[in-house]
Amino acid sequence: MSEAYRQTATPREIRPFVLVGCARSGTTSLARILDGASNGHCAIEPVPNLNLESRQAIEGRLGDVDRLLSDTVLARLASSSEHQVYGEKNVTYGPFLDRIQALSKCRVVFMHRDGRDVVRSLINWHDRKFGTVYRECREPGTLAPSAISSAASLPVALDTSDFSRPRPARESPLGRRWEDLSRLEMCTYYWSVANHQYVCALEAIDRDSQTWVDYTRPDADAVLDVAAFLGLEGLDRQGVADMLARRINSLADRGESEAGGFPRWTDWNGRQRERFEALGRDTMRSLGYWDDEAARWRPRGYGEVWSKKAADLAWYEWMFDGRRRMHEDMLSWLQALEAKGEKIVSAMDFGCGLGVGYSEHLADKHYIGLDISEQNIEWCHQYRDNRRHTYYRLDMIADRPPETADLVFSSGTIDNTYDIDGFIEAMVSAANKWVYFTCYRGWFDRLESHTYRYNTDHACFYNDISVACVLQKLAALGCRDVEAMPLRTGNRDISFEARFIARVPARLPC
Amino acid sequence: MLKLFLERFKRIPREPVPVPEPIEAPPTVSDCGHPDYHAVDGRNLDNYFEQVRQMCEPLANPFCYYEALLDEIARLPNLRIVTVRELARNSRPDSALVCLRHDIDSDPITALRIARHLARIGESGSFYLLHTAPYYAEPVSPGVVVRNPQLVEWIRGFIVSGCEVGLHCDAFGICQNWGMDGIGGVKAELAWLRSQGLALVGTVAHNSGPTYGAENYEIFSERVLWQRVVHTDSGLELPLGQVSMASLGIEYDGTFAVARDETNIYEAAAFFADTESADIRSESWMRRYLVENPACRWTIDAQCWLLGKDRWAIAGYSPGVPDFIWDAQLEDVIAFLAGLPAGSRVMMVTHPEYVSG
Repeated sequence: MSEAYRQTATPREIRPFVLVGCARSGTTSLARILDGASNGHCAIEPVPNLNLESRQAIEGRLGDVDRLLSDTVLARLASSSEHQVYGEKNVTYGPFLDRIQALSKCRVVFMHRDGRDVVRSLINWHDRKFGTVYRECREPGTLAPSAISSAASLPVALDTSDFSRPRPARESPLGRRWEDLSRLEMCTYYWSVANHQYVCALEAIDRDSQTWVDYTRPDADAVLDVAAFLGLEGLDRQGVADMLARRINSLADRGESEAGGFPRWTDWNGRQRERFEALGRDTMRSLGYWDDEAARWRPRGYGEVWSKKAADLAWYEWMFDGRRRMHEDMLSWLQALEAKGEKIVSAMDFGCGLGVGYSEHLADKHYIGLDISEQNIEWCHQYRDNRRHTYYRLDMIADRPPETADLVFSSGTIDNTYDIDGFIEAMVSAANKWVYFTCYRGWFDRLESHTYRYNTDHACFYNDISVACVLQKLAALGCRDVEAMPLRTGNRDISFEARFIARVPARLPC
Repeated sequence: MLKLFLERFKRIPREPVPVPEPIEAPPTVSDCGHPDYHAVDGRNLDNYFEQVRQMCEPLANPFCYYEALLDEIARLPNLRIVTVRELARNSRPDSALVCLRHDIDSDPITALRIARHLARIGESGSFYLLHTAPYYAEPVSPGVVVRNPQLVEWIRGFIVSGCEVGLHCDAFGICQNWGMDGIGGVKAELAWLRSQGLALVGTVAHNSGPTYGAENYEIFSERVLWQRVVHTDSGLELPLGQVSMASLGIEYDGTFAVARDETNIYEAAAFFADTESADIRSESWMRRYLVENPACRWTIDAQCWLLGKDRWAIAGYSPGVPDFIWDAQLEDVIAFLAGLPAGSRVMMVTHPEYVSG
């Protein structure tokens, strides 16, 4: 992983600067704010902006780079003076950044943003405003009238902006698949390649000359740090905060509606997640967005609702009674399994709540209750006194349980999780013999991928779980004797839930 | 120029999903006093495309053939790819210009693939939708044509790809084959295509003179080859010269054919009347059509037509370049283009079905 640098000290000397990053990472927003400095100017994409040359350089078709730079960027940067700091922002300097810095001694501000937010923003930029992001994409997009008009009036040969975006070499494996990729994948590729390029170039630049800014959730202090690093004066915290609140260069700022656009990443379906991961995973890691691999799809604040909510026995009992048929099914299945001679000594409950029902029905087993809620686990420690039973507070996906169990089961918890595949992996990983789980939101046997919907107020997901994808996942994990079936609930609102059972692969001896 | 695709399409067995024939007769009335009930099976475009694929298979190059053509053109110094519109506007270029004209007679899917490939490499192409093709529309009753709803999505695709889109004009086909108002049809389709967001300023006449006894561009008053009256098989008069290009917002017709300074009208009429010989895969007819055409002359310096598997016809109109090369291969095309003098204006004509393999 590359190390990010954040410079805060006031520089000893005034130098020009370049502000770089992938498009839709906030470069225009920061440039406008910095342009308000009393002793400086930050130009936004001055021409010539090397759109054509950037792609040619990536594809190895560009000749004398130094000469090109001296006639363009370097000539502009040379206008900087002790009294007037000159800087410029551009999103196409990746292939030239190390040479620009070496030849001009400029400072570099590298801006980055969570790739999922950038991809969404690019797609909305295409759908709502310009219609020109990866124009070769097989999906025209859900184009607003202004986007249709914009695309129709810009012939591709004049569209240097879209041309500047990198494409894989045609002979490469990805290049061969390129024409079949979705716009999400193309934008992910762009974000990934562009940021990788910047990170590589910055490795060749001394640390004192660069600063990195994460603009995923920008704040005024971070912006003022950048200004200080560049020697820019005259910006005040409130003014910066006001400009950030305006969301400069957002669709709304550009007069377009943001309603009904491409979904936030928390609402991406399973396929969209897979597509993003396939092309963006490495860069998400290298920029530090996915330091915790297992929790990569966990939104900030996920599960807080359970942590803040006081343990409520009556509510959990009501919940248990409401799905009594499902619980009875689990217990009768377990009974039948044991009647056939399979010994189940321990049972782990993913999302145990207050252990209602199972702590009684599994009284003679080693019952292990897991829950994300600290209050719930504290309550269990206080009121559940079966010595065979233990309770752990953990995020079942991100935190490995301290022990395993013959049976790992879960009743209607996977529907609220942030990573369905991760949840199943964690269950299988913790099981010695069997996994059993039910999905309370229904039986979705026609879904081709999981549907995620994040409720920010509840800070949890409401997922529709694809039967086919679960079966595929269990098979990929080496499970056998897999069963999937709809279970009648007796309720009118959701008449069937989904139940999955699988025998996990045998563990290798330690 | 090509044999009317519709005619070929009609000859192919249509099992299991037939394409409905136009309902020629006006609705009749049954004994009970109500109109007779007429039902036709709907058009299945999957079936249509399968038939196109089968029909074109013997002629189709793999798609990479087209990619290779573009790669080779890109390597030629001093040759710039432009749209047909730009070529029409630029009569005296500094460098040699080549436009990529795509007549979408039958295969909009491959046409879109071409447009998208061009977008990927940042080059321009021009694509002409044939409003009388089965993929575009079909007549369902007297005076009524139903457009294929998929057109909207295809047009969006063309718009996003940044290519030029025009109308493959077949006004006389409307008159001859559908018995409807050809100019009214062209006007309606131009208006509809523009309502979809297309900045449409160009047409390319579909078919050739022998098909209808007139070239489709002759609907334009500026483009009548010689004054005459032409009738359809059913005796209707073709609307020659009845509308100006400007009145329809049309800047150019991308055939680049104009009336000769002096036309031997007997010779021209005989050429148009000779429907038996008219075959784009006949060397003699193509030479006559592209080089010795008695009805028109060409206002470009060369044109190259892809006619099948690595098979081209090339016509040159400048001093010092070959006037006709038959059965040329890709290398011959590139060599021809490389030999063109500066300032040349060249047109490459491709029917997407020929690169659909």
